[in-house]
Amino acid sequence: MRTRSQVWAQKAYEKVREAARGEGRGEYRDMALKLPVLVRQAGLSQALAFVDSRGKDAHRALGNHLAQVLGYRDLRELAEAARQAELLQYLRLTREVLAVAEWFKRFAQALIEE
Amino acid sequence: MSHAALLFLHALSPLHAGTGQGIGAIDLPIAREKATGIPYLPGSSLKGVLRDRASAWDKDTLFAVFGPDTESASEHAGAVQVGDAKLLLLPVRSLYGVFALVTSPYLLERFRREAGMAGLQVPGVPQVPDAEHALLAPGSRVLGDGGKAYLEDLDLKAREETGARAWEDWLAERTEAPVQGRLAVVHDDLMGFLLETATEVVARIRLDDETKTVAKGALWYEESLPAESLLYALVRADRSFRKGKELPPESVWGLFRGVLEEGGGVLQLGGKATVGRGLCRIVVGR
Repeated sequence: MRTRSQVWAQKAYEKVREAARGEGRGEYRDMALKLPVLVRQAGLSQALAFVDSRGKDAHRALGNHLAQVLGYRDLRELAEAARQAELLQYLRLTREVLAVAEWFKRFAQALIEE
Repeated sequence: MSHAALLFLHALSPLHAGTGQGIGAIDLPIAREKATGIPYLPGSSLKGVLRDRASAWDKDTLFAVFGPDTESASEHAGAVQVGDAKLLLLPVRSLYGVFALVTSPYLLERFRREAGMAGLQVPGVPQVPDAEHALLAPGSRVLGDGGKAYLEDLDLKAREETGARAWEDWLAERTEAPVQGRLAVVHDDLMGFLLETATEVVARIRLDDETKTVAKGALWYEESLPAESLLYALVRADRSFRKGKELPPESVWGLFRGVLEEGGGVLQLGGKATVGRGLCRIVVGR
C-alpha cells in the first residue's frame, strides 16, 4: 500500500514532466504556482472556474492534469463535481484539490525553468 | 499549591504565529497543532514577550519568575508556566452582522477542560446536529433571511438556542471581544474546514529600488489568524525556585499579572510586528 500523497505525487510528477517538454510550459508553470493559494483564497468552485476562463491552452492543460490525477476525465468534469457536491463532499474535494495542486506547484518549480 | 489562571488573547490585528518556511500553498504558514490542525500561539512566544517587558526588574526577581538566562538555564526553573494560546473563536465573514465568531463543540469542550483547571465555571457545551447547521443565540445578528447563517460561501441552517446565548454572555462578560450577537457554533467537521480555509492569506512583495516593480522572486504568501480572533492560554504560578529569592505562588502571580496589565494589557505577539501584525489585548479570565 502507498499513501494517498505518494500516489498523487507520482501521477502529478508524470504530468508535469510531460508539460515541461511541451509548448506553453511557462504559462503552465505560472498557473501551477498560482492555483493552490487561489483555492485557499477564492474557494474551490471559483478557482476551478477561473482556470477554465483563462482561455489559454496551457492553463487549461494544468486544470485537466489536476483533474485526471484525482480520477476525473478533465477540468470541466471536476468543476461539475465541485458544483454538484453536497457540503461534506465539497469540503473533502477542496482538501484533495489543494493537496494535489500543491504537488503540481512543487514539481512545476522543480521541473520547468523560468 | 500553585495558582492557575486563564488568559484571553483578543487579536486586534492579524496574528502571525509563524513556523518558518512552508512548502505548501503558503510560504509562511501559521503554527497549528499536528493532530487537530487548530491554530495556536506557542507559550514560548507569549512568555518571551512578557519576560522582555519585565527586563527592567532586578535580576533576582526576573530570574525567579521567568527563569534564568539560557546559559544558566540548568540552575532552576522559572516560577511561571505559560501554556500555548489556543484558538477558541475564529472570525468568519458573514452576510449578516459582517462577521461571525465561529467555534465548535470540540473547541468549547477543550476550552472547558482548561477553564476548569483555572477554577472557572463555564456553560454546558451545546451539540450541533450536523455539518449543515449552525447554532446561534436567539436574536443573533448573524441570522439572515430564510433562517440561515451565511458564513463565507456556506449557507447553513440556523438554529437559535439558549445554549449559544449562555456562551455569548459568558465570553462577553470576561473579554472585550465583540462576541455579543455574533457567536456561531458549527459542527466539528465544518470547523475543521474553516480552520484550514478561513484564515487570512495575503500576498507580500518586495519592490526593486531601481524600477519600483516587484523584485524577481520577491513575492510570497503569508498566513495569519484574522483580527478579532480569540485565543486562551492556561498560566500557572508556582513558588519561586531561586535560592535567596523565596516567593510564594501568590507573589509570583502578582508580579506576572503586573506585567500583563502594564500598558492597558495590549501586547504585540507573533511575527511581522513592523507591518502591523500581532497586536493583542490580554485579559485575565475571571
